[in-house]
Amino acid sequence: MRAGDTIPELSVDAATMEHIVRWSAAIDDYTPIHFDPEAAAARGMDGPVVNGPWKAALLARMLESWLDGRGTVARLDCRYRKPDLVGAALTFGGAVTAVTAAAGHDVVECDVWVAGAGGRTVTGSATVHMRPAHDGESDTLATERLKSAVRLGQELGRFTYEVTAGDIARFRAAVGDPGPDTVAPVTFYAALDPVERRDILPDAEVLDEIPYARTGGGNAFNEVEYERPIRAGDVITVVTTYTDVYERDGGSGRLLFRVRTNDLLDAAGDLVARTRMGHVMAYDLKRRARA
Amino acid sequence: MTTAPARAEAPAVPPLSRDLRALVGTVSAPRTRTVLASDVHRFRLATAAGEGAGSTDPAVVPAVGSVVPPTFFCPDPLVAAEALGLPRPRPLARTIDGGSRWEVVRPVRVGDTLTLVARIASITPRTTADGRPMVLTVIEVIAWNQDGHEVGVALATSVSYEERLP
Repeated sequence: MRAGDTIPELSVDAATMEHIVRWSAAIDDYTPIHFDPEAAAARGMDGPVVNGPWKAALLARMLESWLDGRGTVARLDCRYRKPDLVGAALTFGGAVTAVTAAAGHDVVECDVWVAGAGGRTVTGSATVHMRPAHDGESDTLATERLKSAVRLGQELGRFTYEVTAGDIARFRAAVGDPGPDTVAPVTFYAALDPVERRDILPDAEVLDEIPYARTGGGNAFNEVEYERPIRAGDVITVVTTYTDVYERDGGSGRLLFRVRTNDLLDAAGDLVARTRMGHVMAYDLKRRARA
Repeated sequence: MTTAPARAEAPAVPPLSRDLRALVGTVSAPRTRTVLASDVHRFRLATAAGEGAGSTDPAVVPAVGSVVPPTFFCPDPLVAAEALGLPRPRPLARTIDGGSRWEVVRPVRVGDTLTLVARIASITPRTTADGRPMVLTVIEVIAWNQDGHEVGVALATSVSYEERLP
């Protein structure tokens, strides 16, 4: 991949009224100049005109076909310079203008265009993020990149939460567990998980890049061992460490597990509880993630 | 006494009216919808390149969790903004779609719940190359997913201009 490389063109023999009607229905756009000859004539057009964003969507499709699951379209910028009439033959093309390396992927800048009867009717640019062609892990979910993202085996971070009587009361109300608001119920540790609280999502970007269709997922297991109860007024520091990332086959596809421990320390640094949380995501390795 | 040398002057850009200026920054109400597999399927068929969009594309209905096409979160920001109730200024005789831009922050998947909000980002007076008044309106639509993460921004440039005199 280098500047000057061309992107395989996509051709539409004719942008038909069927395209336009389907587009109108798909996005709820019933502007009549796109399908009504009289409305188009009243606007000075020689006939119904093709929607600009439809042409942009086909440019995006051209880019996706070129990427073939090896990357994502991060930006697409189009200027609609001239109208194309319904029925026009259109060619969608592009070329690479720059490639720069980033963490885990290349940032590829491209020029893109649409050519119709009157020359280039759309011009623009795009940014795609492209992964290396062969990283030796093409069918692997528990990749080294994922393990690196969660800093497997190393402390990921420390997060401090003050536990109030109100927190405990709301938690008890939510789980239907009547009891005093001075002492937290045994399941309260879940409310102090930095990942569930989304205070840190170390692997979100890596997971988003998994090229396979996701077929399910959720909590696989949660374990907790208390040294003492959590009480209102505690200031708890949670030390999060991912301890395992692995995969295996399951009933709903290939299963990717990520396991983390949380050490809950009080203000004195004494261990209050240790939790072990397993999360699983299922993928169909036979289907690409793109819809 | 001296006089400035004569020179060709660019056509004066007419100022924006107070009503137009007041529209800048207008924000729509948010609207939330679930990304349905059937909607994504319709979108894919509408953007199939073959002759006769639906007849040549063998695409099957996408599964929950599949990543949707890049522009799907807001396929046409002008249409989306008007559907969200945002006024689209049409101050001059003709108003057209001058361009669109999509920035994809995170992949959107079938089954996600998206919330969209539209805003009039700017209204700028200009003149056409032959000196006619023109107004550029940039409309921005931001989309968030069910986790509150921004998934993308779509921008449209609406171009209003006066017609050529006969």
